[in-house]
Amino acid sequence: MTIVIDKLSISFEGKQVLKDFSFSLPASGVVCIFGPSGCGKTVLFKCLSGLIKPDSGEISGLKSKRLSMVFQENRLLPWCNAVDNVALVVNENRELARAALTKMELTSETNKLPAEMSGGMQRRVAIARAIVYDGDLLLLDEPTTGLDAELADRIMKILIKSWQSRLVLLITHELTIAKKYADIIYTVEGPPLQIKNVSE
Amino acid sequence: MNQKRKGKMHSILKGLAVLLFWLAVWALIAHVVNKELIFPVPQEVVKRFFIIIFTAEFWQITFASLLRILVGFTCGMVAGILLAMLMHANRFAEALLAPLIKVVRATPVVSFIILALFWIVASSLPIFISFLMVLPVAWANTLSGIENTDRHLLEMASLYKVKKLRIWQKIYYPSLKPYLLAAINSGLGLAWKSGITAEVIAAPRMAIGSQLQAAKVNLESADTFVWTVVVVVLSIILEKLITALINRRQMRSLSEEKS
Repeated sequence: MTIVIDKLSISFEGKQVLKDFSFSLPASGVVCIFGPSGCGKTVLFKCLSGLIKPDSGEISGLKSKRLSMVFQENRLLPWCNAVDNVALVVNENRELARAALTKMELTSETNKLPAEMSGGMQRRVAIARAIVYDGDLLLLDEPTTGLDAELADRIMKILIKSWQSRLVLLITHELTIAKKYADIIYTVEGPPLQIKNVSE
Repeated sequence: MNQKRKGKMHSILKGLAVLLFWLAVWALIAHVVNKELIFPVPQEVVKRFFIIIFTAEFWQITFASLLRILVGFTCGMVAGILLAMLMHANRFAEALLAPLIKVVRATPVVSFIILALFWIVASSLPIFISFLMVLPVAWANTLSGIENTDRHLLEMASLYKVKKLRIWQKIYYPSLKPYLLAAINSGLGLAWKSGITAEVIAAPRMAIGSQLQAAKVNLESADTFVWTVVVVVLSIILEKLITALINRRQMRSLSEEKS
């Protein structure tokens, strides 16, 4: 079932970020939204995830879906180690959490607190938390921030593989990542957000 | 290790020097005043102190006061925390109860003691007064802690549909800890002071406050000093004990987290 965004309007922090924005998403595959910072991509994500309520318009096909997300910021609990941060979203199942961290090449960091890890490691813990959650839609907001090109490539492969046959919505400003992993690429400008399919 | 021992020795010596300085100031004032009834000399107070603490009654009285104040303090903390949680969850409850708590906070403790004397038996009055003084402190600190909890973490938990109880346990509680510690520290001092004041006025049987009042009536100023010292020492011991307990708990949960 596809997700349809119909005439969505949102004002955020005094700015009209979305104005009568319409857009539809397929049931599966990797859809990339590529564009400069500050044009309203993250606000669109927050609206899709239900963290911001739109002023008008509606989104259909999303109600029954379980969402997983890699936020722009890592949003890790500073007082919990890597395993507990990941296990939080799977009913404290530490085995699943450890397996996800292993996929993220963090086997020896599982007991470390976020403050004891580098920015790149923290990012991978946030990604592990997203892939361990059994969702229908994965929202990725600049997932490879803080990772070097080689590691970013490996992590993206694992991410896409673990979300096979489900929908991944990816925000990035790295064209190489967009071209390599996305089935559909949209470029955006704004605010207010305007979208264009450039997959061809 | 040696350096650590040296540092400890140094701080003990410093503490002793400070104590001796203030004892000298006390002796000097007593010498200038030269009236045992108004300002006793330190030797007399120390003598009375050792006489009093070696009686069985002293321990019964101290334990009874300690128990009353601890019960009032604990009830005040629990009620303050629960009220803050309720008021955070329900805006109507906040509108209804916030003015009441602010009034309690602004009212002088003596007004409550005199009013409550009509409603409550003397032995329970210190419990009620300690409770009443601690409640607004616990409420205000808990509410600040809840309001200052990282919104980003709460958004993340809500997106992943983390259960409410686990959100409290994993996000709110660790964020609240420093606020609760501050509430315990200031609340305990308040509970002591207000509880002992209530005992002085209500004069229940077996109470430090009643002993203070009796010493005043009998013009035994050395005893007044002794009981005041007891209150101060107990207050410091209690504060240190609770801080040590919380720190131990924190260390234990940190090591559990690590394993």
